[in-house]
Amino acid sequence: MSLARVHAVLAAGVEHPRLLEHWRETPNDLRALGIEPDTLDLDALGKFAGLSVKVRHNPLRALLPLSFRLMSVAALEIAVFSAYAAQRSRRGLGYAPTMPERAHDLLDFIGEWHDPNDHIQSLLWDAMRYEYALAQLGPWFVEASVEDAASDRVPEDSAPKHCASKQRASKHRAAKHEASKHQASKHRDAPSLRGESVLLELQSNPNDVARVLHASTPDLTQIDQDSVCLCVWRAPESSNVAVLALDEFGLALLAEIDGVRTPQALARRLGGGRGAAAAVREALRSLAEIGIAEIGTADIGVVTACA
Amino acid sequence: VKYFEADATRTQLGLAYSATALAYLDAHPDALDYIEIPFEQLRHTPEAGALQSRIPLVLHCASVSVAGTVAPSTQTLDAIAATAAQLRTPWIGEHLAFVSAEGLEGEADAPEPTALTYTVCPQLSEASVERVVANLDAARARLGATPLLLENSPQYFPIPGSTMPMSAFVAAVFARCDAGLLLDLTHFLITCLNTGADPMRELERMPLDRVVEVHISGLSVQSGIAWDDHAIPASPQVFQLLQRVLREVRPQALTVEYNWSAAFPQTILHQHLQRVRDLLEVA
Repeated sequence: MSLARVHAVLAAGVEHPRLLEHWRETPNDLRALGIEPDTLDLDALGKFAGLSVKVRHNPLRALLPLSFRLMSVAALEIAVFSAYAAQRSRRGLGYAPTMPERAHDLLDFIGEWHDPNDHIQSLLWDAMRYEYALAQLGPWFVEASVEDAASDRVPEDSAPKHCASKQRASKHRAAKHEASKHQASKHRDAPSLRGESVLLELQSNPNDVARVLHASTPDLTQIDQDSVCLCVWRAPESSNVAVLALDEFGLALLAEIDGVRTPQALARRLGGGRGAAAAVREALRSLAEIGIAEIGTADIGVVTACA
Repeated sequence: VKYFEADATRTQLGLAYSATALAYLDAHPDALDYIEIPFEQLRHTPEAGALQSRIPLVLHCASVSVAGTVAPSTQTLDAIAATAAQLRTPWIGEHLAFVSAEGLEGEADAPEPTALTYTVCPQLSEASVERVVANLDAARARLGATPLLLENSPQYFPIPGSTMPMSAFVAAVFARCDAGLLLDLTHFLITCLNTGADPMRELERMPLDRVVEVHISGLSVQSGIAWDDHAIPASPQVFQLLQRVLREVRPQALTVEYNWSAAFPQTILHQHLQRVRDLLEVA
């Protein structure tokens, strides 16, 4: 078999993993290229393509440390990145030039790829959403844009380059509240959120995941399935990101606060009745004390000033 | 500016360029002899070269495609030569691999070469050996007097048309050229694990007398294959191989490549550097 042809086929398979699927289905096309199908392990070549893509995503490790540690401990990296390489090739997509965009694309992929009934894959999906939310509210999404290019051929772990990728990140900002969003139509009696926040419903507690992953011999079976509601929040006056643990009611309330709905409207949306009204009042008071919510001028009882 | 000075009496110890390495250098300014830095890094971020005011830099490279059938551009070779001269690197380490290949016809009449972002193990054949020798001659004509070291590739799966194992391929290449060997012990172990070869026996077949530099890093077994992994520490087997190699040869340099994760634990890095120092001392 010709050296040049063998290298050409290997390179094409790594760069365009969709070809591997084609050659698997139509081995004669591979034969026509001068390669006997039984001499080339297409599965292994696809996994190698995954390694190559994994290395291109090394700079993301600084932003998604738990997710990468989890993939490493669970020996999932090659499976994840080879599936990712195949998906992007099938869809004719390359890899984004900036790290925030790559993080966004990878998160999108994990969302599609993971099996909710698979404990480890669910842990990965949770860890990645959690870390992406933290990163999303950090400075790296809003600073000046710089392309990452050097790391393509050279594995290196330099910090991800900063860039503005608000537009691309919009999908995962669906649950993100921005205080200024509803200023124009803000109702004077309506509570509103301060700063930026992302609401998460997870099936595992990131603290438990971190504790297990940082053990000398991590045992992922020790991480229980546990419904956790979190609000990742950055106050407008702060560059720090806070994580608030919520109950389901708190999560639902935060999701409904839009600067337009009055406390009474919020109570109606959360079940109505006296119980809901009282719970909304109490929760709004707590949120105001923390500083995440501003309570309007409506009388909801004793209201303390926002932090 | 600091330059690497060869020292026949000892093996110098370095780290692959990374945030981890820079943090270690900050914490232990006198513990390292050099940083090995990729040409591609310097090409993209030339300011990284400022590090040479603190510590000598040794140039590593993944752009020459020594075992490939598509030559790198003269601009790339000239840029490597200029970088090597600027750093006064003692050598240029390059993968015994390819990073570009001819394009496949079918999608275009005159397909463009496929440029990869990661080096690939070549076909292990006599034709490939001849190609390496020819490529080296061509590259040297532009790279100038800086010696080239060739680094053994990890083999992850059988390469079609191969007629020899990796150790025989490396030996055949070095029998035909005067390059030095950059022995990556993790790549070597990965190849043995993936091909079912006995590492200690295979080591005897490698041209150890040509070793100038050694690399160590981690490896992980995933999806049924052993993979290079610079985000995790080297395994005990890698240290056993190092011990064995040091019985035969005294490399000029040893580079620890824990450079894929900025979160690589500094304590483990420190311990492993000490372990390497201990092995070098005993040897």
